[in-house]
Amino acid sequence: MVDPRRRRSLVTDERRSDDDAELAAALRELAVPELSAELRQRLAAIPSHGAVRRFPAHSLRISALGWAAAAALGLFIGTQSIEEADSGDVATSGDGSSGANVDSATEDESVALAVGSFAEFEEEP
Amino acid sequence: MTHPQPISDDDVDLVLRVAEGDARAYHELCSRHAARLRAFVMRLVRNDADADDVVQETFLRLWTRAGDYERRARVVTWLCQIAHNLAIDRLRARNRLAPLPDDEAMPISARQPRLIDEKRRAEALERAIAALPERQAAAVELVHRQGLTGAEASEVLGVGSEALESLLSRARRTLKAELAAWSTRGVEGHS
Repeated sequence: MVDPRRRRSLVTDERRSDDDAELAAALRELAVPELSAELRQRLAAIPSHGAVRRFPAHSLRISALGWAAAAALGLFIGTQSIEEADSGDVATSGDGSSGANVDSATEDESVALAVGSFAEFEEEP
Repeated sequence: MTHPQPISDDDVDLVLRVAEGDARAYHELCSRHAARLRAFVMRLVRNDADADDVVQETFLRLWTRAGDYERRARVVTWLCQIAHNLAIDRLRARNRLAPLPDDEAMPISARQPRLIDEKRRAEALERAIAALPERQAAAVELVHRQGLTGAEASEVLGVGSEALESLLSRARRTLKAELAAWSTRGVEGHS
């Protein structure tokens, strides 16, 4: 003899398990949508295109080499400029007079500017 | 992407090969898991373009970070976890993800036109799943369609076992009600 409440519970459980089984079966039967051709191509391209991202050190190395070359070029140009400036000083100071005149004229103009006197810059008629 | 013979039956072996740069192993994993993975992602993002992007990003991670794979989880679980995280990021960016406690489903019958053709039961069920809140649909997809265990699905979704069971039971209740309603309509339609 089964208690009526127990029987009701059994019936409910049976129905629930039947429903669950039916639902599970229905869910299993659902088809998995196929991938689009475009997505298949995108996925297939990853090994070839992803290889660049796979080794980021490679791109960093290229970047570092570029900066190193730019720095070397900058140093070379800078050194050349200094050498040219040095040789220019030597050339002007060779005869003695012209370099000294230019220097003194520039110095006078600087002093005039500093004291606010612009008579130095006025051209005589 | 398809190859005449699988190069290995073991997903773990394939992932280890991918970590060494084996493109064939990568393609094999794609052919095995991409479609199901996309179906899972689609349950979350519900947008073809976003689903494709997430799947592509997941497989890009497989290709670039296969070395991060840990054997404690199945490969399918690991891939689902990556895809889930990417999908959640995308949903958060769109501000679309419903908070966990408030994602009760609306009555689907109210949103869905009546289907009286018995042959279209699968379609009705598909629509019913699509109408579930994202997390419930994802839980159903993982457990009932991808064959993940409860523990694996919990890990993928980043929820505890009780939360997963709650998601599943709410989803099942809704889907069963929908199936029952569909059966009733079907009988009425045939009588």
